[in-house]
Amino acid sequence: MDTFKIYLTANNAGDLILRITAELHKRGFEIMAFNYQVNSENTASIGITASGETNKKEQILRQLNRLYDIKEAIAC
Amino acid sequence: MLLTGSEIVIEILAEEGVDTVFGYPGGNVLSLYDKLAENKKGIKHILTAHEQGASHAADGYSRVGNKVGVLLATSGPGATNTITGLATAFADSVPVIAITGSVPIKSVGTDSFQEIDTASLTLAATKHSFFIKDVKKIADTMRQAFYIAKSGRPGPVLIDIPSDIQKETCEFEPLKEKNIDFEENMADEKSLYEAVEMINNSQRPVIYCGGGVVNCEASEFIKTICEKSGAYAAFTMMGISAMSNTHPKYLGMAGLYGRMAASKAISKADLIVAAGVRFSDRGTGRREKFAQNAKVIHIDIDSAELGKVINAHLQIGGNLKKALEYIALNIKENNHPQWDKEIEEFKKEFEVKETESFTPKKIIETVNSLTNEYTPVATDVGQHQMWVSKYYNFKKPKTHLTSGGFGTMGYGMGAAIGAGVATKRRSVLFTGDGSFCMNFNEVTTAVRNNIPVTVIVLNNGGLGMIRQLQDCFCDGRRFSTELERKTDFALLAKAMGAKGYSAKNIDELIKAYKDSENSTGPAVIDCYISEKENALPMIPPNGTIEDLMR
Repeated sequence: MDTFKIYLTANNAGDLILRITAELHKRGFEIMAFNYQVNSENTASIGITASGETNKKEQILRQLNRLYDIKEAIAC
Repeated sequence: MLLTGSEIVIEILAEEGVDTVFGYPGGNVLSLYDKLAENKKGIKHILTAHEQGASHAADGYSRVGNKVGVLLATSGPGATNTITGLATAFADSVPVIAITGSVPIKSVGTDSFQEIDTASLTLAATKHSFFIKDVKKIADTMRQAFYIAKSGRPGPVLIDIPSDIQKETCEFEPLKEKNIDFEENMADEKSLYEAVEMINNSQRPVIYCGGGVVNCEASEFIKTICEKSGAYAAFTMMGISAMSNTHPKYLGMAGLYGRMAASKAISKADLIVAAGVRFSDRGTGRREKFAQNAKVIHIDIDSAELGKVINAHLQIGGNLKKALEYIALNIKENNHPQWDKEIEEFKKEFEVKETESFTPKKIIETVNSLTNEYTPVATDVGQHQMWVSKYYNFKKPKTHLTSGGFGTMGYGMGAAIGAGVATKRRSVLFTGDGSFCMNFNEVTTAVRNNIPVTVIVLNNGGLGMIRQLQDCFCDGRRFSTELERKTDFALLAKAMGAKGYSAKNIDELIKAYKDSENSTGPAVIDCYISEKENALPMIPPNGTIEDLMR
């Protein structure tokens, strides 16, 4: 298990938080911190600190990137 | 023009080319049903016996063609009843649009009658879900929903519309020109070139085809690749209709209940080209032992599948059809006599001896001989599903309808109805007595709408697949798998207004099947088979070809 940060830019959709947290939960990640900031009416920036298996980090980014409202998901 | 929300929904359905919706009315879709009844756009509504049946029918309607299946349901239990169908479509990448009614906006959050947060509930079972709070957003949201359902890796999308929003009005502008640009998402040419080189250098190649090949209609390229490169083709359950079983390169379904020649070929291959597969545990067995002697090339339209289960040596994300076309065009002509010889040995080694005359194999092969290459064939889930995968010769892609990913017992009857409606052909459903009892109520739907479906019940008086597992892994302690229902399915069918037959031998089956074709509606043929018939050989869950049980 490792801790890492994920940054997302997304459409500010009502159910987006649910979708992101559900995806992380489904893939076995634990959320340690979650920051959601609305930039304008339509966009949001999200920062997540999560713990999970390091070898699944790339995978969760791909899963998050395919969510409809996500514009970009990156990790560091 | 000024339209109500419900009228806009109907306008968009027509705009998207929808000619049929499957559904069940309720208090929170009253307005939608009222507008559908006006039939201004010629959209036919098929009333099912249960919302789950509607969801499977929309799925079956979609699988056999290139159309999106659409279902309608009311709020609360109506919506929750569709979830199994949506999850089934999601697991098998089937484009379906579910439109549900919700309680009025003012009542949302008050725990009112038949209220549930449908959009949240369906998060895990859909590609996306929408809750519409403004009548002005219905048109754009629905267009988006159809785009999401069809684009990339297809899947179901849900749109939840409160009942008052359905009745509100706003200006609607029809789409003047429908010119939707689906992103091509092409595979990287350098990777494709590398794949070609790997195939050219392989001595024991296997192409492992999944549902993605069927979805993107790339069967021809699979054949070309096999014929040019000397590779053999193994399939997942979702991929088996990609090639006829009479093709010399066809090995059949690999995995737990598949043809063992296919599994053995995968274990002995030096190269696996996995096309449109997601490496389900049923296909791979113990993952760390999968294709241990091989390099793996994984090509999929959904890049999230790459590296999820198997870390392929070469991972190619992008348009699968275009990628296979490139490979088919650029690989060298090759042959591998030693590999051919070994494959022939694998085929002989795993031939199954038959025990009695009225066997599942003979029943399926007989029905196969009475149908044609375009007949849609649905299955439910259990032993019969495995037998159909092995013994039915699917000559055309998209004629095999089965719940491969989610394993939904009760899927078949609705799916067969949807396929029958879409193709206007008699469809066949192979089911077991366990699965059939889950949703046989949909026979009434086929009767009412005069939909030709012939149901073949492989009746072994129990939940055969689980009974088989109990026999193998619970020291034969059978529990809750011996049904002892004493149900006469032929009489039950007649009671529902369908034709009903019992068959105890092949002659009776042929006679019943031919007679069923003389009617325009559904028929049920109850075939009594021995409980000793098992889905064998079998690789135990999480096992390998070395753990084979015969």
